[in-house]
Amino acid sequence: MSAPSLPTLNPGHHAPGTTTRLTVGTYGHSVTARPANRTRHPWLTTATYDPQLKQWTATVEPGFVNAQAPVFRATIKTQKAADNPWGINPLTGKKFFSDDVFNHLQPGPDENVDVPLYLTPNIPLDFRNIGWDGDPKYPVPQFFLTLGAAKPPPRPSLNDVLSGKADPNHTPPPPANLRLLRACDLWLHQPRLALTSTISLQPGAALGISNVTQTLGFASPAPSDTLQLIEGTYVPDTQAPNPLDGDYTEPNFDQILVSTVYLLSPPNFPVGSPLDGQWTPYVRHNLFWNLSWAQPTFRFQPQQADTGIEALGFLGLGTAALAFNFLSAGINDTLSQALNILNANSLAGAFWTCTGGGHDSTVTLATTTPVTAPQLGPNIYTNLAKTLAAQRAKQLSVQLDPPFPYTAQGFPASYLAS
Amino acid sequence: MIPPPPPQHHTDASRPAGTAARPAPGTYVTSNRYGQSTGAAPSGGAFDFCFRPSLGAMKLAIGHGYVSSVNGDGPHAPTIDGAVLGGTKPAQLKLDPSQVNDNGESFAVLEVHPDDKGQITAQTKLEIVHSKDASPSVAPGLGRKAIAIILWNNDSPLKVLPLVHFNLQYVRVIPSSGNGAPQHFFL
Repeated sequence: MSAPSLPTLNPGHHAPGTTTRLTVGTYGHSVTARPANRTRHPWLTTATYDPQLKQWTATVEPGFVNAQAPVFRATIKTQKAADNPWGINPLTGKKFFSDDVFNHLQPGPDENVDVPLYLTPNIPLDFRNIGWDGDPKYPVPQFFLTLGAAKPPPRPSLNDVLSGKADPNHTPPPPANLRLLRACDLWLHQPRLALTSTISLQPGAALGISNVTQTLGFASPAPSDTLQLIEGTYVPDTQAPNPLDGDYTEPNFDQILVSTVYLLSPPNFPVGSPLDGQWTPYVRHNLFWNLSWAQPTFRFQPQQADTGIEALGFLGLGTAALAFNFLSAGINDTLSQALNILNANSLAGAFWTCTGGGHDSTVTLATTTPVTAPQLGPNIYTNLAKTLAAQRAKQLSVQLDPPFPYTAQGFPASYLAS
Repeated sequence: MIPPPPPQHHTDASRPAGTAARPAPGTYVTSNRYGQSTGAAPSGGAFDFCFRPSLGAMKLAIGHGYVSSVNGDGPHAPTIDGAVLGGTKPAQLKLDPSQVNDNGESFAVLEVHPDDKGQITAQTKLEIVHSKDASPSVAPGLGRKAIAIILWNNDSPLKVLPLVHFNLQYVRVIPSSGNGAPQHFFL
């Protein structure tokens, strides 16, 4: 039996190898690598551009919080504009609102409809400018700086403007091959019970001393509020509470960022260019796994500085109030003690991922070692920890998401206190 | 018969003159006397995660998974109708259409019956049941955790989605008196 004939020698011949695909087009050959299967984890966000609608939209893989699917609140009109015709439910093949999930509703075009995430709603995206032509308060990830985006140009100082050295209206020319950058966030909104605080002051027994009564109560979320996915610009609630500002109510919701969709333009796109299909989408995820959520149990915690504690208990009709009495030597003292009481009883909840224990796959090395003798030479543990941290930072500068198994949300250990 | 030369993975400096292909991220170019070939790493396998659900005809199979507690022994595998998850006998949950809620959903729920100290031991009953309700329990002797959600169309299950991907650790917190109901946490 003769040996199979060898292919002819042709150094110019180009063939696709394993896991690749060869496309022959008008302008030549293209070899595409079939991408490795990425785990379609919960909250995986995919952005696409519809050229007919001239709109960027996103779909999010179903994720759950306490076994509940978040909803995307939209109207039929906006979903039709996002190319969701609300005709046939992809799960059942029947008309959309004939399914149990909508309880046989027939909403009008402008009425809100809550679409569970497992029905894959098309989420229209509203982008903000970041980078060269964006607001300097939004940071630009190193990943995009490497690809050609740029940070906003430095603004002239007030002294230079006043002295005439700089023109406040002058915009420096963009760097060569600049790529414009846009961003849109997707986040979860979880309604919850909130703490309220009311302060009243009476003159104390001595001059300069006030008798302060701080009454804590509860505020429920709006009945129409529900666990939902929201798009836009995510602003974490970092504002410090001010219990002296009248009747203070802490936020009656918790939020957590799901992902951020970025659009990167081709090089040298003019500032102000519309967001069309020429932009390249990227997604940076903050969530990768389903979540649990809980609020801390409200526990009566007496203040150490109290001269007397009057607990009013539950007032009936489902309301409840607790009053703290304390003496204060001035406005700062009042604020400090009231803040302590507020923070100690805050009902802010927490999200966590069920991992069986632990939420970070990075290995941290102890940076201290038991010293039994004077240390000679460099600390190898500290140096190795620094090397690992630098490698991780370098890795995150060339990719947006951490490698599998990604990251998880940690469980607040304070919830285990009885 | 002339054997082919060994394949070479070229860098920019060593690429033969006249060739234009260069490997982009994620690909590599093999060049030899017979031509050039572009390849890429093969795709990964499926993620066989813990408590992985598979929907059948009115049945739900659940893959291996374990539950432990901080000071208990174990970990231990839950059961479905006496069949241990990941055991020799297939662990399949019978799906009952009467357990579908108004949203067209039902759940595979892990029920934990801890001992008096709130720990899981070899004698602890760990069972997965079919339920229309995924809400947590407030009874001190029962902890509940939904591990899969089944979506229905009338009396037919359509799709199952996992709610957990890892083994579970169970902790029970009994508040001091007057401060609320017991809490069952799954970490």
